[in-house]
Amino acid sequence: MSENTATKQPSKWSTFWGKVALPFKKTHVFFFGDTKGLTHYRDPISAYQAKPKMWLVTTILLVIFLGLCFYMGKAINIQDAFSRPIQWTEIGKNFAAFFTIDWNYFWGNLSADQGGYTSGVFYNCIITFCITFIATSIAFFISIPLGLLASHKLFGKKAYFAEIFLILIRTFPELLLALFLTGLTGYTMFTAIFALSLHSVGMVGKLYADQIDEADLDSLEALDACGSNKMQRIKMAVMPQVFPNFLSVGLYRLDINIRTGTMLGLIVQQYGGIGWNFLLDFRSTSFSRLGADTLGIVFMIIVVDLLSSALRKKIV
Amino acid sequence: MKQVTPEQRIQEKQARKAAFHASKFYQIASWPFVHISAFYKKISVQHIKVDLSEAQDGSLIREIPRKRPIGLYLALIAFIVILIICFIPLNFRDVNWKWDYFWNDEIVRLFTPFKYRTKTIAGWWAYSWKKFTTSFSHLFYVCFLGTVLGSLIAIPVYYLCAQNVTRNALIRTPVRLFNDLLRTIPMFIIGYMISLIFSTGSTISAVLTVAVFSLGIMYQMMFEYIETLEMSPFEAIRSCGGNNLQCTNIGLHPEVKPMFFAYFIYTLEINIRASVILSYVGFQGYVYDLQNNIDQGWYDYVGAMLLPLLLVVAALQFISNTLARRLR
Repeated sequence: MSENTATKQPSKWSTFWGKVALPFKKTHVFFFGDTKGLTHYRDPISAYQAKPKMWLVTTILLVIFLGLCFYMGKAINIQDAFSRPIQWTEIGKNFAAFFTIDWNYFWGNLSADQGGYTSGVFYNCIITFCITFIATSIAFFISIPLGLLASHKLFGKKAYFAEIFLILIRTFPELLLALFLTGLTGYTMFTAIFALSLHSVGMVGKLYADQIDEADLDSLEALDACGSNKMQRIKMAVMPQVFPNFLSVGLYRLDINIRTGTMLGLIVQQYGGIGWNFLLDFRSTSFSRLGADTLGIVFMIIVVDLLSSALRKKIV
Repeated sequence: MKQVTPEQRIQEKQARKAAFHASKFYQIASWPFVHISAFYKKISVQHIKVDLSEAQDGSLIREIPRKRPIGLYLALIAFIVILIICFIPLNFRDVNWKWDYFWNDEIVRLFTPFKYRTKTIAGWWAYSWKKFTTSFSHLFYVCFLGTVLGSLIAIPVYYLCAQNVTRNALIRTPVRLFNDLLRTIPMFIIGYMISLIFSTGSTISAVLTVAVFSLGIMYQMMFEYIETLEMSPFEAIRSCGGNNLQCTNIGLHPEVKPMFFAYFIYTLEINIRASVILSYVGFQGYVYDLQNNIDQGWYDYVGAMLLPLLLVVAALQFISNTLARRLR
């Protein structure tokens, strides 16, 4: 199968892109002449010295690049922050307050008028984890058929439909997706789950398709010889081989979603989770509470990271 | 002294073991283990009847033990239990699906010019172009500068993290640990910490935030790529008498460089999507305007603003995908 495709492929330079890219690829020929034919050298040093000298092209590109960077810096007024002196004493005081963590707030030992345990950091971290876990597990199951449809090895050129669909889904940033979906399901935790899982489907489906395309599927030919249909092929040849990889992709996505899940609470209170606590403390500039928030977020992310990496090592 | 042969010693040991097994303590203490292991043996093996005859006529039926994947079942049960527990603290009481509102008042209005704002289709496109040249391009500049800075910092860092370049674990491990810690911190917390030093909402802190964030992504992907590379060019330069810098620069860097650009574009795309959150810790600009337009219900503005973002992200995704596929 692979030999056939190799013989069918056209020559590298006969394609349209080859023709278009050729002058750009051989820029050094115009400046320094061709080094073609010089393949044997006396010693490694002369071989190294005979390599195409690109210094002029490199310099021109570097100047253009630096000019672009300076233009961009000028356009966003990057020098504004240095117009007044940095107040180091105040910064030191703020950081000191940041690292004296408010433990009552962390564990939720708050009075009823402060919101009780439900406005503490620990409870909200658990809610963020719950939202993320549900969203990731929904995305894990929904994107299995989509990933299969998007794999070029199984469906050939028909796979482009599913691939483009997945690209369209994941182009939208998840936070803006959440803001738009409030029109559909209102300011609720369900919207957060919906948005997270919808965005994850796009990314996870693409990774599934990659896993299937990378897998060595010689057993497909054996099943072809037996006269199997598409479902039997997927069940017998594809899934046993790639399902551990799917699991590892899902666990990897849980890592990413836990970071995004903290941000969802930052936008709207009703999305739930630690983000809203962070926003309230940021606006009221209470540094010891911000320290508690940060500790909770970082601790939760580290725990989920370690767990998922341990499970991934065990699976694959 | 009495001479003890090895056989006698073994016999004594066995006698002691038998006495311990006969003791009351062992009999009481062992029963959970005995019963659990018996239960596990019972459920882990399934006896299935298989016809072993060549003609498949039922003349040679044998019982064959088949192992059940108990670990898999336990993992599945644990997954379902955790999923159910996760539903407990959440509430979905206020969910009511508003398809009509969603379609007619949000999605359709994104592309229909309103008479007091964008007025015509031309006005819609004009607003889109205006936002593309002003606020979106500023967002892009911030992300680009931050990604450039972060990737340049990442170049020595990923060589220090790669196991096949840096053989000294005393250097490698602390660098990796520090970077892993950096990678766990979400972008808005980095942005907040940096804006404590520089003033809140200044562009330099946005650039530095994006730089730190992209350093975390870049070093991780690059050192994992470098560890898969073959080291023969590196060793060839070493055998010619090159020092560490020459070995890396001539032997390894030409192979790493194309992947660096592929990952650079990938990181840039991630940063553009992730920098949406920076407006919530005090940075004004594109997302601030977008949020304002959504809050006011000016959906024709929103649609016109979103178009450049979606186009640029899709283009970067396409470029990074094709680059990575060609290079591998």
